[in-house]
Amino acid sequence: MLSIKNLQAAVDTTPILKGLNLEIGTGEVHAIMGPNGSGKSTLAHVLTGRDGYQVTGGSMLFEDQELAELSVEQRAHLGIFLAMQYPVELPGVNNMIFLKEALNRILQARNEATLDAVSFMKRLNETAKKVNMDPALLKRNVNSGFSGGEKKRNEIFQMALLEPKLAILDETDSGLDIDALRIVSEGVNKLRDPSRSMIIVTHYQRLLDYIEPDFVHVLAGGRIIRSGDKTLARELEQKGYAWLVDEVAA
Amino acid sequence: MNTSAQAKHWYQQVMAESAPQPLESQLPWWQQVRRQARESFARVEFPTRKHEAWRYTPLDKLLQQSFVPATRDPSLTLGQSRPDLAIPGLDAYRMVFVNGHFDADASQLAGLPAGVTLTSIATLLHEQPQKLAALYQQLDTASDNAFSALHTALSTDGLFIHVDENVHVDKPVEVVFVAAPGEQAVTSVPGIIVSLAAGARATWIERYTSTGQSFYFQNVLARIALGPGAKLDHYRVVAEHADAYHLSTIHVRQQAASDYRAMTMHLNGTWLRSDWQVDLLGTDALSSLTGLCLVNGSQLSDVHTRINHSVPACKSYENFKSLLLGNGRMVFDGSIKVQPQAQQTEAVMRNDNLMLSDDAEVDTKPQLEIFADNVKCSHGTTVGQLDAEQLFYLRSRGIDRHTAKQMLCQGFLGEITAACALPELRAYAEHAIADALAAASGA
Repeated sequence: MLSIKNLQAAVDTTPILKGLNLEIGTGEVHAIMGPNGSGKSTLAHVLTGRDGYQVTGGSMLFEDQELAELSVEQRAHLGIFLAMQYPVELPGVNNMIFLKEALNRILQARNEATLDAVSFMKRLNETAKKVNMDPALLKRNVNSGFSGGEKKRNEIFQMALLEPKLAILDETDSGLDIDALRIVSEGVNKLRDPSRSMIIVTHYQRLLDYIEPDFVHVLAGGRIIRSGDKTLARELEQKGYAWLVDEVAA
Repeated sequence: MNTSAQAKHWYQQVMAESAPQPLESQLPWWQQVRRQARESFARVEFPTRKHEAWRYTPLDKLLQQSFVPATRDPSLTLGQSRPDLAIPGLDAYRMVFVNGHFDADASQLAGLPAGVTLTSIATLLHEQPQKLAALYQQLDTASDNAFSALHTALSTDGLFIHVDENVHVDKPVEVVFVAAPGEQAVTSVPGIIVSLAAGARATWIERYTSTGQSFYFQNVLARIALGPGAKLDHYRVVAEHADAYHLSTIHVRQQAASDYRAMTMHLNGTWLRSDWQVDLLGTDALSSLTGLCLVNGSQLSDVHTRINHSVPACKSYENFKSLLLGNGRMVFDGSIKVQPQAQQTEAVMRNDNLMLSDDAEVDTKPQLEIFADNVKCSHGTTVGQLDAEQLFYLRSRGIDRHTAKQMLCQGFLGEITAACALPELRAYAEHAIADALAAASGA
């Protein structure tokens, strides 16, 4: 589904990703771990096309399309979704209006029929039930005055509604207490699907206790320095990142 | 002669040539009001940039025009069917003024409850001049300002609302001022008098719109008096012709425990200014001035507020937001004065401005003058651009850049319209904003 080859990217003029290779097959869940500043969030932002992140080399093919050539919204139309580390508040922008616009744009891009108000509301309520989202939050302005946990749940809710092919979860566990982490993880697990791939970017192993990855990669210095299965995450939790970074450097 | 002197000369000629109304000889007090205004106008000059209150408000273009006073032209009567005379779906008493003159045929006043007077100033002059005379004695008709003097010297009609003690008007009162310019550029000078007796309540929508293609100058002078415990919800929708000039001078006098809430929308016009003077004269009164300004192209939108706390325990609240789409200019000049005796005053002033273009200009000047020691006062002002993170967030959900911008702009102004208690008016305003945004981005 996604094939990243020798990807190099810079923020401003500082190189962050320095030749990253990653293959993600359909339905697979990959965890990207690594020390602070290793380029984990940069990868998430480069894949989604955020301004300020320049691709300086390599390729990222999503279903044989080069992502670097597409706008942020075109990537979303292809089915790429980013659950943000810090979901921004949108004062005055109603959640319902926002969600209806987003869903219809994506349906349109997939050549599917857009939803009228009634069928949209039906879809919204079904999805809310599925991921245990409080419908009251949907009536408010997007993320405005939401707690940290509510913001993350709203991200997962959007993911459930927009049904992406590739979901990227950027440090979804940050700022969550154990209860919120469990609720958010349950939501993510419900969205696991043989047709949906996921990239879970996280600093800590604890999120992976709830969402079991198929593969674990360690990102350091802008490259993937080790890949393995979920046991690699446990090893990292015990030993930290330093041994691995040292080992690769040696 | 400079522009200002030429303009003064022009309007003095206009005043000299305008035939005295037949009524004037019968109503000496009215004659005197108009004569005093002419004399004031002769004494004062049009403001210049040297006047602090006009420092950022360019007047050259306005003063270069030779406007003539709009007369009552029967051919301008509008049919009841004109759709933009009514806010869709809004059940309201409706009064229509064409070029500042009352159009009874286009108005709907049936079923008005007892104790509510909705009429025109011209009608009152004919039918109950004593009532108007009594009111004028209470009004401060001194015109220290050239535009107010010009208004009073020329104005012969306008809106009159009076609500008796403890009467609650059961439906909103929608008053539409339609500019229907003809071959000559006109100045409309509707006067507005709104007085609510003790305990009275009303919701009043004041709207400006136009039918014509050419420009004009709307010079409005409003006087609002709220008795003890009276409550007025005042909505103002200024959607003039894109080339028109509009000045509203609004004096509000509030007695004890009265409640005045104004929501203003500057939607269209080349030069728009709303100028408030609010006097809080009785304790526990509340005054809330909020508004949004949509500044298209090279338009000017100007909000001046002066709130005077002269007694204890009053509250004033101001929140104005502007959205600048092109290379226009927004001026916000808000001043709150807390007199020494006005203890326990609470005053909050906010002004936020969002610029979509590098060529726009915002001049914002919050001023607090506090002479009492036990008060809670704050002010804040921001000038900014669209937030890159917010844009990214929307686009990452599949919403294109253009729509995302529109949603953020609407959201920014929507914080003002969200407080509108009339859903039909709120929908109308939101549509107007969406249309303006769509038109601006299409240009």
